[in-house]
Amino acid sequence: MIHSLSGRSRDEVERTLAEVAARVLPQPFPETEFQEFDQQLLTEIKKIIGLPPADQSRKALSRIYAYLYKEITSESLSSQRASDARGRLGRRGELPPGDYNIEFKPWFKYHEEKLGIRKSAVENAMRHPDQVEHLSHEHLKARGFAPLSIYAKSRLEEADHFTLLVVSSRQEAKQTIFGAWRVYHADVDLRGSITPLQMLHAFFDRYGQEFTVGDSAPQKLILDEVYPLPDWYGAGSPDMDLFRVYGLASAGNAGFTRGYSRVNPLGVIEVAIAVTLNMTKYARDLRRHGVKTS
Amino acid sequence: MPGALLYSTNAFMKLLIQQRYRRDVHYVWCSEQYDSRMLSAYSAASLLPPSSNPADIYRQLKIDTDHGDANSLKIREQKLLFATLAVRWEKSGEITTADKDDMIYLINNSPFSLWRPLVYVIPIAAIGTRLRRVPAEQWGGGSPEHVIEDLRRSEFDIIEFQT
Repeated sequence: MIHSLSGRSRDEVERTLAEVAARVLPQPFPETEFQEFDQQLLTEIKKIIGLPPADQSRKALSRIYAYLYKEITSESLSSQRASDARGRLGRRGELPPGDYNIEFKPWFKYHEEKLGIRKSAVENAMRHPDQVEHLSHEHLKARGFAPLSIYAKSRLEEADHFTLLVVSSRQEAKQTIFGAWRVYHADVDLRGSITPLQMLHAFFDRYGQEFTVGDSAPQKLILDEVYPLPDWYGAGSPDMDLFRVYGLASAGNAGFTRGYSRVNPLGVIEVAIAVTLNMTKYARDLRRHGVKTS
Repeated sequence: MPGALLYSTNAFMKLLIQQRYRRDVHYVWCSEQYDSRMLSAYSAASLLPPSSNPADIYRQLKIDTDHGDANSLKIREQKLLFATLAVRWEKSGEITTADKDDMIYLINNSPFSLWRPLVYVIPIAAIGTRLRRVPAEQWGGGSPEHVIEDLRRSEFDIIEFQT
């Protein structure tokens, strides 16, 4: 507690300290002279942090900066306000990557782990990405979907260059993993793919299986689309009945379809993201690179 | 009379904050040379001390962020500056209380990598009368310093050295 500021509201204390800080910090056009009160406050701060009154060293300055910073920010960093700020920043995709909580759905164990992807590798890609791309935030939010992010982390030091792509959805400061795939540069044509989204398209061009949603045209990857509800869709049927995958069964291949979609009360199908992966084809290529699949 | 370019070293965090909370309008304090140590020892400009020389600021901030130095004077100075600005901008109605809290959360919780230095290279031709000369008593040494209060992102390049 700074005695010179006792009796003032928290707001006044914050503002007074900010004004003193502005005069202590280097400034090109000093706005006001250092006042007697400022000097009195600084003397008291030096006493609180155990600095001799005459100490004007860089080390002393550094400690004064740290003290003023702590005092100015203490209210904003109280647990509730900091938690609210973290949530807002998370929703906008502006949190530092390492600050998100990461959640894995059960499907990760049955698909990604069987394709040789460990949770630790996904966490590393998200906490220390080479690139991160936040997708169509406003559209998805307006449709009630959580915003999506794509992370890319390349391993170029190994003989077999690959990039781990991770797609996640953000709910405040939590990231839920939608999917994670190793993209081997020898197998997927990444020429012209600069952004994580372009890499995702290139990956599903190679390993995706065509599918339709309702009566849509066949595609391998759907992002942020709306389709009319077809006549043949019955009320109360599962949303997954709307997805039709082509070619997997006839080729004897295994695959999975994964998506965030919903049937809107207005009678349209809204899709945030949907993919179908030909697992047989993908696993075969992974094994060629020495990845153990099961 | 300054040359064709101006130089300013800034933390990456400053770029992010000005993009997000100042609509990508940047306040920069800049010098007429990047590295005063490369100048003739007999020129006044060579007298720029490390605290004002963009190259020295870059080197020091790079060392501090690479080593995760929690006691770094420059990082502490920048944190205090942004906390002070957050309070002032809120007070003047330029940002909301939520914005202020978000800014302070970011400042407080960002990894060292977000404090790494960037060099802004600013072609002087397009700046015109927006260049404000800093009073000589505020210069760090014998070389003029300038401030641009409303630099747009399209008016400067960013350089980051891999060392």
